[in-house]
Amino acid sequence: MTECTNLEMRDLLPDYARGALVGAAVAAVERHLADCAECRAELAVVRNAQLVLGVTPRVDMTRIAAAVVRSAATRRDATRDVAQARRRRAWASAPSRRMWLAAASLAAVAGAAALATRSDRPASVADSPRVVARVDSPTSPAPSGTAPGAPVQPATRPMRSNELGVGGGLTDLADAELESLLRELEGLDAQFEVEPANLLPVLEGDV
Amino acid sequence: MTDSETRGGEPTDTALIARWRGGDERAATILVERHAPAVARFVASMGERGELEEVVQDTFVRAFGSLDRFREESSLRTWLFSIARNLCRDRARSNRRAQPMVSIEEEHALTAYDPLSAAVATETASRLHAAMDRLTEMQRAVFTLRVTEGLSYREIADAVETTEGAARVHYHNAVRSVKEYLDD
Repeated sequence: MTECTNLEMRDLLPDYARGALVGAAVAAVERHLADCAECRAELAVVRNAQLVLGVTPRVDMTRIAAAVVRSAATRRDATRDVAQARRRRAWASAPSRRMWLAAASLAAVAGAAALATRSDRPASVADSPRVVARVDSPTSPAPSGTAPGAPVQPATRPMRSNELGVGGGLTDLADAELESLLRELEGLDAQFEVEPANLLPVLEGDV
Repeated sequence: MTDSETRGGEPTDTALIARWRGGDERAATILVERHAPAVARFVASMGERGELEEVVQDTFVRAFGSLDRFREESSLRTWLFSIARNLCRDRARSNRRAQPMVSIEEEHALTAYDPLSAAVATETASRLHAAMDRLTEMQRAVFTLRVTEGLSYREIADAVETTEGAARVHYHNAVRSVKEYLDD
């Protein structure tokens, strides 16, 4: 079968068949069609195709729109969850937060160890707290620099450096000391038993 | 609403996309109602028979899911055609893997029971579908977009990811192939 070599006209046939051409273009196509049997045959094919393929299948557009909205909502929820998880990770991985987490862990361990140590240790006179009560004896001299009759402050045994204790020690440490402590903790390969997220409200309350 | 946001009294696609991004779910409904029929015709022309509505729905879900990547260099409808075509190709590939031995006769038998053909109910329609089945996937997409949807070669090139010149060649090859089949 021969083909018309006027590609410009053949390119216009689908638009002509759809009624999308106006003015001079319509006249030009019609003049060409009057003299070109090949293009008339091609126009018939195009028109048939438009008739057959132009039938719109029935689709439930309400259902499709609902699926779009539902999918977007699911995506938004997923995005929000990811953002929250990232914020939690960022919070827990911030250096200062990590120090506080380490300090809190250390305090908890130290507290438990101190309690265990004290309950296991046999009571002895030597280890009992040396709290010196005031003895109002006329023969005993008052401590130097203390006015007679003034209340005497109880003396406590100073804690040895290798003893564990609870209360105030860690919070008094400088940042550099806390960092050093953190490094030592990491050297011990310690691991947190709970998620940082669960500690968050506790720590925030403490800080 | 400014003139650039409406056309013929209707909000433009660009204005509706902006409304959707701002949280207006009704905008999605309008866009679906505006473009779903054309997408459905295209999907049917690409040979999708059994799960046409599912493909159309997936097209819109994917499109709205990646609207951030839509740069509006082409029209929304062209972009939808592009997504629909990729979905059809993926499904055709997986169907081929599932049923590697489908013969031409079986394909034509399927065409004979296609709801589209039944609706038109003419010998010409059946023969045209048979002629379309002989085209390559690219030729079928280009032919449908040019003849049925009236896209320009530039728009077709965007939709099927080729050049304007190649789209024109594919169209004329498709027309030649269909004519030859119908003349036999």
